[in-house]
Amino acid sequence: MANLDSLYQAVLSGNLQDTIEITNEAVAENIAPDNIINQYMVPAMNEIGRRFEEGDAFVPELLMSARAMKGALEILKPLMSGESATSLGKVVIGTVKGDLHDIGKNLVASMLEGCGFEVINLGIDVPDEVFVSAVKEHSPQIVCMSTLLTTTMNQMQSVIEALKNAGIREQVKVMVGGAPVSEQFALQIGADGFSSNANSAVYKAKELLNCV
Amino acid sequence: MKQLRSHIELLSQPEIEMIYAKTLLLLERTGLKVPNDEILDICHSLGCVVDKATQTLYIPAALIEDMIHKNQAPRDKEDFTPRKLTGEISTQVFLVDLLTKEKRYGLMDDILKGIVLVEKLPFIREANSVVIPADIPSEMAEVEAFKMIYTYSNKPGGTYVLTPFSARYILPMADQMGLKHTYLFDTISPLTFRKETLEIALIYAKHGHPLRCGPLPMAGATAPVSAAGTILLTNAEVLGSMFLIQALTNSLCPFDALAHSVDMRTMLCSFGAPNQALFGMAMAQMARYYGFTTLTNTGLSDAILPDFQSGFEKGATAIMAHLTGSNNIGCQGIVGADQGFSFEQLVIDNEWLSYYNFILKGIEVTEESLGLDVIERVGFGGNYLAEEHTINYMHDNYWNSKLFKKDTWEQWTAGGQKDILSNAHDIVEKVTSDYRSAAPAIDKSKQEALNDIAAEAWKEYETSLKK
Repeated sequence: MANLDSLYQAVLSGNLQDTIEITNEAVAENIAPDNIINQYMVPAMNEIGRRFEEGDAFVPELLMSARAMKGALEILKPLMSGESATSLGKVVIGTVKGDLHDIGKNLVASMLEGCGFEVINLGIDVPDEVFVSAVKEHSPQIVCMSTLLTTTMNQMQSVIEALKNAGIREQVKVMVGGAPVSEQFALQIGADGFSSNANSAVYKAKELLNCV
Repeated sequence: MKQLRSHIELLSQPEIEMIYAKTLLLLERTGLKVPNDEILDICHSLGCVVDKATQTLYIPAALIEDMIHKNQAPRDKEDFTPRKLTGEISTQVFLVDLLTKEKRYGLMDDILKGIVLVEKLPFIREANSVVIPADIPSEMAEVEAFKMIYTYSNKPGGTYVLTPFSARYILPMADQMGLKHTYLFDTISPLTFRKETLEIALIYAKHGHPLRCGPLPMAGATAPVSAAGTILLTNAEVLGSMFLIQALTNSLCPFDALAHSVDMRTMLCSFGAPNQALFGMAMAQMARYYGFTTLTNTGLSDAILPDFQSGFEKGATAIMAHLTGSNNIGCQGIVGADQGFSFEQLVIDNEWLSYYNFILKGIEVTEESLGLDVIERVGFGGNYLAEEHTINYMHDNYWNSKLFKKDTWEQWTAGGQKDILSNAHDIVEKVTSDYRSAAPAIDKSKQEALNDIAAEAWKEYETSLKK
């Protein structure tokens, strides 16, 4: 019989293998996916989030928990129907053209995924047209852009212009972040949101989609 | 002996040799990502293995060993600590006012103020641009910063060159000044170069300007979280970068190794963690093993304000690394971990460097300085205030500071009970009161030549906008 208390521990400790094994056992025993997620996995994510906020957990631990949660969701999502099968929203994310830095961007992507968003990660050095194609292909609610260099900051505005030129700017909210980026800069280039770290990026994404 | 000597070791000889052996394996088996065919061809002609499909450069161990063997300086058996420690400036995106607790994007005006201030700070050796100016297009920011520094500064200086466009105009400016500008040829850790970095390096090499390396792997993020793993990766990136620089310029750069850790809660690069002292010491030892000089990113802090944390982190990391043999420290005037530039912080940093260099200078032991005759003359009780020996030796033996105060409570109260930040601010205001009237440091013909080069850059930039 699936030990669901162990599932809580597996997600909390970021153990992907145990999380998947216990989830498969639970599915085999016809335990409702909603129950597995809401009774065990979400509380585990809340607990690791609480520990992180209080300075008792570190980013790698947060990422491992998010990865375990994502692994279980991949098993459970196809079994769910109706509203509960949908994510909080879909996000296209990438580091803009000319910049190879991806730690901050990947951190935001993982946190968004762990918190229930579907994320399409375009990687680094992403040209404007790839952002545009991804929006057309995946119809996300949010586009997130990251950069670490002042020389590539303006590329964010270029992506926004490209979205406008393609006639799809109004379909998405645009969020920007990265070391040289400020709220003032975000407003100046016509972005909808700015975040200085991964936690607040999740909050901002929820706020933009009225999910807070 | 009038100079501080030290012999601090963190790594044992077998540990150093193990790090070196693994470094050779890493460069030979894993290699470096070098996305530039011209550079890959040059390296191939020198005996490297090249995979153009993946843009990977594999450097045989024998080539690294040969580079070290041919370039190592004779090792100083007495392990003298480098004689002097000075700082330079790292160009920041934001200008921070620590008094009002506000930060904003930098301006051209800030660069001029920085030039004027640095003229008066003897332990800040270069008048680099304090900020990236946001009041002109980013494409032109580097060219305009160089023009201003070359026009107004008596000290050498520059800023980070981030685009090949900038390099094409900055180097003719340097040529006009009769100066060489050194390009920071840095990796994106782990083991990767940006395309633009390689293009800029080629431009510098072809114009006969030097390159230096400065890999900055971050333990826990872009390097293994273990200190040993980060030291190994940094060592590989430094030696790999040095090899590439030698291949491009036919000369070697210092073993500059800027290993860092990250804050595991925020992923922010940490400037002042105790790891910085350990990394600084280890990389200094590796440099000594090869017989190279080195810069380590020590003398920095994570603290926003110039408080106890700031002073302790800066002092502890710089001094430990320096006493192990690091020749240079990280840039000064920075607020926290690259949160911005502060004029007041730079003044404070100049002062602690003055303090530390006073110690490095050591003491002079001679017949005269011992002063046996004056001690015998003063005899029992009494004092030495009005002795000629005191007048003769006072200035060399007494460190005077207008910033690091030694007031009585009453003096401090009468002076408005100011802290070090306020005192530093007073110095900044005094020194820079008339900075907008600064006179050019070069003659009219050189100014015109610089203006012409900048005008050409503007023309190209404006033409590119029309396309």
